[in-house]
Amino acid sequence: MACSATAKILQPLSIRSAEKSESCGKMLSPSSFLGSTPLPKKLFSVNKTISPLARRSATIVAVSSDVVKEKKLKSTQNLLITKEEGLVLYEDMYLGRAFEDMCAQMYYRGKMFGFVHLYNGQEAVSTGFIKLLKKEDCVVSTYRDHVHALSKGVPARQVMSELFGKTTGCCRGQGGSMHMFSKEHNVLGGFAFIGEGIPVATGAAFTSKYKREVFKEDCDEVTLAFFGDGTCNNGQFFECLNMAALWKLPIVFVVENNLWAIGMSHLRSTSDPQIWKKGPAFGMPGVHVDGMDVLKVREVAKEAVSRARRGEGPTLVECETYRFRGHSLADPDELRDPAEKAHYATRDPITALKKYVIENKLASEAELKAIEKKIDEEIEEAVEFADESPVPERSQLLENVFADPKGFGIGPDGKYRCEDPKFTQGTAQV
Amino acid sequence: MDRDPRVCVFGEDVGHYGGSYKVTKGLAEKYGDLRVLDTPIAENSFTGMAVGAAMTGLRPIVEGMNMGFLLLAFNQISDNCGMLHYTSGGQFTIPTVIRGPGGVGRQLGAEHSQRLESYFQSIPGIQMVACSTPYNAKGLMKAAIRSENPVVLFEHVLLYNLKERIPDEEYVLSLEEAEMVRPGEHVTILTYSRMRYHVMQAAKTLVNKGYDPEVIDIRSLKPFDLYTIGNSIKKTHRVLIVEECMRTGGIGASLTAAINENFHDYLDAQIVCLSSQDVPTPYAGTLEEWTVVQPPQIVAAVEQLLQNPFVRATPIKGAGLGLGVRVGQKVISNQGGLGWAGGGRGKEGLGGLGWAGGGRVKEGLEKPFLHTAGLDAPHGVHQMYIRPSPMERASPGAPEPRASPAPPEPCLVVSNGRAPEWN
Repeated sequence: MACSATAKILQPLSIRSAEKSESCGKMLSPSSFLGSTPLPKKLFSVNKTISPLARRSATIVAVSSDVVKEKKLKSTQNLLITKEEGLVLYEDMYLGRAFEDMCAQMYYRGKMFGFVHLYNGQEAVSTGFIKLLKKEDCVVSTYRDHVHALSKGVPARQVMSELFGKTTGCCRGQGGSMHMFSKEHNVLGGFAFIGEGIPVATGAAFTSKYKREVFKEDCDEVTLAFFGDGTCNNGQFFECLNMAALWKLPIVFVVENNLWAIGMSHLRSTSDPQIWKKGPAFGMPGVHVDGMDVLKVREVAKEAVSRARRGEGPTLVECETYRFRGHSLADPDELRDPAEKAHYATRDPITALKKYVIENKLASEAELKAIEKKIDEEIEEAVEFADESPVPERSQLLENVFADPKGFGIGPDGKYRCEDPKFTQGTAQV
Repeated sequence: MDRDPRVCVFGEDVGHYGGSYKVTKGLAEKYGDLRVLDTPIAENSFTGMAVGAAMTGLRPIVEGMNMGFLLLAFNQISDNCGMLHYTSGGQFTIPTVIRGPGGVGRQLGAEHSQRLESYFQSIPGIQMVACSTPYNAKGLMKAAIRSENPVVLFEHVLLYNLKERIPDEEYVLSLEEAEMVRPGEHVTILTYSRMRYHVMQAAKTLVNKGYDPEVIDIRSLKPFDLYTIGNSIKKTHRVLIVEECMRTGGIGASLTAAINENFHDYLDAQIVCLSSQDVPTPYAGTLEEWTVVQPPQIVAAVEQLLQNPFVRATPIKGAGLGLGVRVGQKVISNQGGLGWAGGGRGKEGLGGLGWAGGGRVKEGLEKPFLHTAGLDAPHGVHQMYIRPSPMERASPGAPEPRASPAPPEPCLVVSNGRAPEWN
């Protein structure tokens, strides 16, 4: 599979060249793209009104960007990534996959409980976007956030011990699977309700703009908001698209469209399933990209992130992706068609990148194997670390409820409750 | 906003319009459109934006154009404002202030007359304060902005026109302390926000009648300042709570529970809580007036409380011999009526026993202000039964009550010191 990135930026105004506005109309036809193998037509059953495999009303598989097309035409020898970049991408995706597989193992062994949502199959989106960011840039995610945290740089041992509920976890064991936060790496969460994180991401982008305009700092921090297809029917999504476009906030809205919201197919719940179209309605570009191909995602991400850094405003990127496992480890995953799952299994992003790297002689199989081994060891070590870490003590229960513990109030004896050294042994009555 | 450039305001019409009640008037001209941000009508999202901005270093103040609109932001206030500091293991602070005008106004209709303090009070991780005068509004606002905790500041629609001389120099009030409005000896009246003025009006009448109420503006709705409240109860032994919240699940309900848990032994009478009726606030002026507690009701409640202290009734064995009963302890009998534990203060050796007297209140005697949770049927407890005055004894067969002492002495004492006979 030729892994050139193709994505079309659909502009409401023709900012680029005049020919773009004409090609906007053409972009629905599959012939106008370069890139990944189109889905065989027979999988799209036009007879059924709702078919899980019929992703869209038109058979778009990927759309092309003129900018990248130009680059490609110059020299076919120009690869999209260097060797170092390739290895970084491979390592990150493999880390995500190995970590999630280990999570599943640990869950079934009773080391972690509750709701655990795994990211298998969607690694290209996380790696493709987050590996372009600086440390100061912010990432906001949903409950499917382990891999976003890992890609942003949170050590695997911290994420694993958070999942085990130990004090050494990134949130001291208080957050859990769905609430991964890291101040150091600017991971702003981890939210259990869908759509809850999008306004938070908008706020982080607002701070970036505020720093530029009020503090007069040289700030070009960008925020990425990751969320799914189900969230795109939620009010907070639309409200934030509006505000981000209105104030030209440096944010990229990344939709990980894996077609399923637990058991609700995207096509059954959405009047117009093409989410990228909703961007131009608010005055921002809407892009659709093949989310199973990390290089394509990376190219689109480069453009979207640099757009935001330049101050040109937000972008809505819809990544067509798929989760290989169920919604969560408690989901029996009975509704999805096995043929659909098999189809996407053939488009596994890690295998695809491996193939690309080897075919283009960026690295040898041995080097990739070495990376895999290293990651496997890292994960083992993370599990050991988490196992050996202490569980939180009783006194931790009341810590961190308030940033200023005076918020617990004044007790009947006239002293602030938090001043009592025995306070954390007691209850948080106010 | 001058002192700290990180402070910014988000809200509908806070900028160019100056705020729906002109609270932010002039600020946009002074500080710019970004610091005083006019948002689109998307409460949940701009409150979430404030959370995100707070996490990344700013100190936003969110204005709900009317507090009721913040119901749309409940998701963000509860989950994100309240909980993120905890779920992130203390990594992120959310120093937001969420404020707005609430309460029952002048015929604003049901949805614009909401009192959200009862809905927000359970959210762990937030503090709630209610301001009532220009002086404490400024002080509490400053404290809220400087606090690292998320604070919800309740203002009242009808109090924006108050004028008061306030100090020129900077002052910051404590977010957790209550305010002693009028010290007194006979009864503790706990109130907040607009009801403070109704209480003060009632207090004037009460003073003329010879009573001495102590009025405390609790200010901090969560957490309660149990020190100030406790000291007052230890002095007066009677509590009246006057609030504008609904009866069910309101601030008064929580306060009643907290006082009962902490100061039960100091109470000579049951806590009386006057709240608004559990109805959507009607538009019609007369109906609206009856929804909210009015000064005459407060006066009547205080008079009732001071003349006729009452307790619930269940039997006590051996009570007739004064065994196992200490001075000041409540005595309960099941005569269907109420008695008192008298002689609490300094009257050692009297056994402190009361008698079960009184009974159900007769029809027509029930004062309109005592709510049975807005229902006609009794709530199942005797708390609403008023012990009739000596002239109106409802149940024959009860022992002849001793004539109540004249106010202002609220303590009924058995003067001959003899324990009564029990049935």
